[in-house]
Amino acid sequence: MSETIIGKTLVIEGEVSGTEPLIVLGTVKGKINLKNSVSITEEGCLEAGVEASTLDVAGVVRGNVRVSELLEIKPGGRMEGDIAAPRVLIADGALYKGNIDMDTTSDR
Amino acid sequence: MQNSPDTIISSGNLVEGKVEGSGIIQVMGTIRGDVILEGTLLVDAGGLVDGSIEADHVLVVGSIQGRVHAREILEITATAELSGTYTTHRLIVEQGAKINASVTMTEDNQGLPSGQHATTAQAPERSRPLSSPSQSVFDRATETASVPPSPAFTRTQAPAPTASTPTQPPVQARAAVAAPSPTPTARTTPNFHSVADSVESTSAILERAQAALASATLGTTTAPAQKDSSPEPPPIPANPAPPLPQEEASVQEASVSASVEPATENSNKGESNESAAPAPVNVKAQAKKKRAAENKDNLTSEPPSAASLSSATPAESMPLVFSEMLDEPEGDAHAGA
Repeated sequence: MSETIIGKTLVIEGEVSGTEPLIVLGTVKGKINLKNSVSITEEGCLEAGVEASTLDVAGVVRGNVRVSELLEIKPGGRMEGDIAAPRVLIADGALYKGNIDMDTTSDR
Repeated sequence: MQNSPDTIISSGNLVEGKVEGSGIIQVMGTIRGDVILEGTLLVDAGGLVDGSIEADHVLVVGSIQGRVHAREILEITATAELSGTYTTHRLIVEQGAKINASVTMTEDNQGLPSGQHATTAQAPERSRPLSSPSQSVFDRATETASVPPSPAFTRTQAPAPTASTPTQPPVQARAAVAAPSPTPTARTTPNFHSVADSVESTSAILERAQAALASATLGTTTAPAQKDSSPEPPPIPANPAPPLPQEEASVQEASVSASVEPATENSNKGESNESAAPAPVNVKAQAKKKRAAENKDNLTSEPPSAASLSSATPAESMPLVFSEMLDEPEGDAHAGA
């Protein structure tokens, strides 16, 4: 399985889409639309809307997030935006600000 | 791996937008947009960059569409497909590449030449030997970036060993091997000593042989000049032949009497009986007389060669028994007169 890795020093201003997992160590400004997992590391910063199967936030996410499976905000992670996910896991020490909608059956 | 990429765009992903950063970017997917990079951009097999690219080193295995500005080097491999406008300081194109672009080569890596564009249907190609297939693309990229510009197109520029270099150790080895050869001289020293010993023994043998020869000719025995540890031949007996018992007794008596008379006669000279030459003559004469007397009694014959005895030379005086034995047969001696 090949992953897309955005390096620490890289800044992407645009949209990242695809079917492969994405690991963000750098900065992505824009939109992420993946049919796979997205992982924001401690150094990573995501200033974009995310639409993915799963989302792990250890860094900073500013944007609305729609996840089809699981959204996890890890300790030290920070998120500002709305969450639409059937499963949400916010660890102790995480920071979140936004709205959470866990009823994905209804269309928005 | 030391030259691992910092950013990887996998084959199934697409990045649309502006990509800016530093380090090494490996594109196996697609980038549509501008890439501004302080480092190396590797468009790998299956990768596509559609947009403007500005990087230090651009290595194209896949496809590039758009403007490319390589500050240091633009390397196009055999499977690359390029179209657009390219500006670079150094250009490497492998055989098989598909290029439809305009290429401008700058004199230095600082910037673009002003108003100078070489519009050609095909970029000038300079063939370069392919690196080994097993070589990593990243290794190629980093090697190319580190190699200074030169007309040679060989990736590896390791100095080839000179012809003399590999031979030197063998020569030295041969010298080292040859060095022990003189040591056999050390072996020769014991041989030398053994030869010397043998020489000494040979000289001793010669002396003994000479002595033996002299004794044999003179009828005298001489002791060897040098006594060696080596085995010596048996010494020559004092008497060459043992005399007969009866005659020996008579001879001994004659010799005893002779020893007394010469002692009295030659007392002044002080000579021994053994060395006096005239003494044996007198002894012989007296011995004859006695024998004649004895022969009458004991039927012992006189030595017929009394004259021969008297006329015997001093050399023949010692072996009296021999002369007597030679003159008279053994049977006659016992037969009597």
